[in-house]
Amino acid sequence: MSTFRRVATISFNATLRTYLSGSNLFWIVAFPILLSFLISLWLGSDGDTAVSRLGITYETPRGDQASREFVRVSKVFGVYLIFCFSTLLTRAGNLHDERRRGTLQRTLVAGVPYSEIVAAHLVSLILVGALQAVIVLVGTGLLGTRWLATGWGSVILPVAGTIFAASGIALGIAGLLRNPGIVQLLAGGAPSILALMGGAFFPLDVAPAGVQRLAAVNPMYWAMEALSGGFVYSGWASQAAPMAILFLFGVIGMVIGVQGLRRFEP
Amino acid sequence: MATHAAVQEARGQAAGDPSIVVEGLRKSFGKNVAVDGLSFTVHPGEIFGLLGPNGAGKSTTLSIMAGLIRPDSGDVKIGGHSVIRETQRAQRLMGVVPQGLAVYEELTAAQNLDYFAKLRGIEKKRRRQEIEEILELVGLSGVAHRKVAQYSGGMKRRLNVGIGLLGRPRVLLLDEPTVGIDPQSRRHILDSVRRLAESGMAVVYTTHYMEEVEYLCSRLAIIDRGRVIAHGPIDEVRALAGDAVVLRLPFPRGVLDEAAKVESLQNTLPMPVEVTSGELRIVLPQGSRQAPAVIEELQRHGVPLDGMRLESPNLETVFLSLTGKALRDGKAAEEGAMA
Amino acid sequence: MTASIRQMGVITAHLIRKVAFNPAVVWLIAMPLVIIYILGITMHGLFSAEFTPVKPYRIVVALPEEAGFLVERISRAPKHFAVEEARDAQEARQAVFQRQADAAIVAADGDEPLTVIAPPGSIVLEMLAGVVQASLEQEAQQVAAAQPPVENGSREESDTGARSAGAADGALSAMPWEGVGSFEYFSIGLIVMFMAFASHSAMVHCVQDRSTGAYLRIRALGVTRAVYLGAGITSGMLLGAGFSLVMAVITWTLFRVVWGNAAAWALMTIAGAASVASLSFLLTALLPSDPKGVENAGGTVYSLLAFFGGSTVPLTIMPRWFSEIFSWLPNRKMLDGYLKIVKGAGVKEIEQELFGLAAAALIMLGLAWLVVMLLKREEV
Repeated sequence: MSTFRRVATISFNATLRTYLSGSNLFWIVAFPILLSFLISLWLGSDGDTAVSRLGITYETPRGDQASREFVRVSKVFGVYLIFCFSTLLTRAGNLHDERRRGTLQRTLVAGVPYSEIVAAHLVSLILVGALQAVIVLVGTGLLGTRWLATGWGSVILPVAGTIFAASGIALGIAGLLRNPGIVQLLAGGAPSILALMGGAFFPLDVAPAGVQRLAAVNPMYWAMEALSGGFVYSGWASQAAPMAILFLFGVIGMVIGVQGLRRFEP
Repeated sequence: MATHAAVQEARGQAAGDPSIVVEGLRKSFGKNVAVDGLSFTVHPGEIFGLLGPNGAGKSTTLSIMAGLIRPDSGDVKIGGHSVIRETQRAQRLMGVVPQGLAVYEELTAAQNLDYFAKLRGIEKKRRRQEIEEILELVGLSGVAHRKVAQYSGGMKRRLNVGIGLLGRPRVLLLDEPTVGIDPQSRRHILDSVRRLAESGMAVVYTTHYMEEVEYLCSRLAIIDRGRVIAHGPIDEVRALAGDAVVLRLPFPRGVLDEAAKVESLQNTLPMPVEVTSGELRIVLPQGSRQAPAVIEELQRHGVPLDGMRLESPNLETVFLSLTGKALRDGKAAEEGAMA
Repeated sequence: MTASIRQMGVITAHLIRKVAFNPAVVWLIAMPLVIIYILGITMHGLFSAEFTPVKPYRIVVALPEEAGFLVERISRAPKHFAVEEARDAQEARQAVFQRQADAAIVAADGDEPLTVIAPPGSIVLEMLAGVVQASLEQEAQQVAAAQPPVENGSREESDTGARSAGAADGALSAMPWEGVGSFEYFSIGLIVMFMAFASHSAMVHCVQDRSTGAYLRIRALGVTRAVYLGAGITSGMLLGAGFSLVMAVITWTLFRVVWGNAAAWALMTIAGAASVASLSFLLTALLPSDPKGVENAGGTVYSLLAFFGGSTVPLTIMPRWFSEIFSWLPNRKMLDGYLKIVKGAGVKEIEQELFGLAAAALIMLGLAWLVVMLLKREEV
């Protein structure tokens, strides 16, 4: 059996197991869709409430009506960010969980090298994230969020960047921590805090200078930048820098993860 | 039982080259020596028992044999391939049943088997047939498509064994496969292991249940703190007890639960003494004739006795007489355990 | 009766001991403190009437000469706006599009309406639109009255900041959060949220007792079901109130949150604890033999309540109509009550919230008891 097929088999199995659990399905996809829907209830479609109240003309930087959807899309995207990170950080502990169960050892005895298992773990993180993104985006889209108002690129790039960065960071955490309690705590609390400090729910302008500077090391801030770059500004040209930074987050996380997981090699 | 062991022994000798050769295995974790110079061989069709209490080094030995832990010295050869130098070739020849339930509870038994069969590289056609055979062997055919989470403990254990049989391995390593299950499932597993050995598989079976070793194995090694304290065909090992018998003395609850009292008794009596819950067990190396003197000594110490029973020697007696402690006690510190 | 009360006391003490000596209690206290700290700092600007951006917003204007008053007016707030003139509307638009400027105001000629260009939903848009509108109105008045305005530059800047923060709006002056700082707001919000989690853990232990067999053992000792459930609710209440007390002391020590009138605080805490314990009881009644399910249901319900009740997303950024829709939620009543107390209210001023919480507790207790009776099955 080739390396590719072994990695594919293991990662597919891990992804399948994630989505076979009813409670996972609820927390990974159903709850974010429900929450996004409830949030979007309070948001108008164009978001220029101040301007319409005052009766002067308003234009978005792109100059089209579609980009006014950003107000709603950005909040729903904020919810998606929280659940994407929380899901993938929770999955970060999977490899250690397999070690505790004994299935990791069983896989090794089946002749699969440890490096392939780590690679499959990373691929499964990306697959879990991608599947979650598809379900949440389609679900919230059906409930009224116009993701594609300004074209596919506006949303697909930030989502892909987010999944890559979150998967890398999750692998990094798996390499640093093996205590499931700490990983769980991190997965439960950190994403909400990162979202708030990354400007996912309110503009960062209101935050003090120090908090604004901290945003530079917050992947959620860059994900929001990539979204606004696509929706509000010049598209790909505005998205390139935040996408590169998200990619960097992912790569750094993966390097830390791979190095760290080598310590735990049986 | 004796016939079964004899048949195994004869089958092993007839088969020629051993399937498993363990030579001078040594492994430490820090200052703690887990395996200390272990050597044995297992022939095709033979079930070799590794008997010892918790923390004796059984699981560490099996992990080394499975190629999961590097020994400090020594080697293990499976079908002539070193698990250190040719790990994957050796692994292809073996099936492993870890002590923990190494199964995915979110999946069905069939999905579990299919997944691990794929990883072993078993082709699609053969995979299907093999999975059916294994399900039949472990008695899970009727529930193959039910989620493992819904299984009883015994059914999960049987699946755990079944996964180890994928790829029709020449060697099977079982690490306490019957821990915590109902008698029916236990019997099922033991019978399956016997059948597998009869088909020519070499089996290493670790346990701390001496009755399982007596039922299954032709040869065994009794290990304690990583060292072999007895080794050989089962009858020879049993004979190490000589004329020894075990004197079992139940006493009223709470009388002898203080470590100091036990220690004083152990110093007073010139033979191994073990205190278990509600019972005092004393090995009489020269047989039952020593009993009156021992009872007198106990009464002199004011130990209130509540009857007595003499037990003929078995593997537990051997262990007790050699180590001074019971097989099922001992520290539960299994470093480097497989699961 | 006396025996039942004694039994209830013993079981209550047992449940509290199980929860309070659990390592999770560290999480229960540390987690909200971290969030209060982060939100308190991050959202300080939202609770301040004197909002000034870290750096002035870069505003590009392309306006005809007649609109010079507007440029002058915006330039009077240098801490808020840095104004640059563009050659034409196209250049101004490009500057915003390429993110070289935060916003722009353009008008091709005197007849065309003014156009504000800024990202949707941004603060700079709100601020700029406010200033433009005020300038236009003032200019119109000046033209009408044909007399020059008397103004003071520094006052102008202060007005702009106040408007931008949205807190000086007359319509908002009656809002409960007005005059409350971000640390006070989030201390209240997070305590209200986590009080529910603290209380819920007691009920989760009750359900766990069922699955471990401890419940059967207790029932076999002659304890009735009502006594056992009563003990669960009582321990939930005590844990909720105890958590509130501990957090009040810690937030006072760390964040200088002054909790105001002690009697009002105590009554609000007791009423709040009763309402969350009753809600937990209702969830438990619906899932009597599934500890994980009860735990998850609690997590979901309380997270949603915290969200819509203003604990995690502050009421300041919710549209008014939206926050009013959810003003009946018990946790929102608690939030409103505590906000009033930290602003100096006594028992009389929070009567409405106390009544609301008591009514919510009674309704949920009644519903839960109904469910218990309906799902009684074979149990006596």
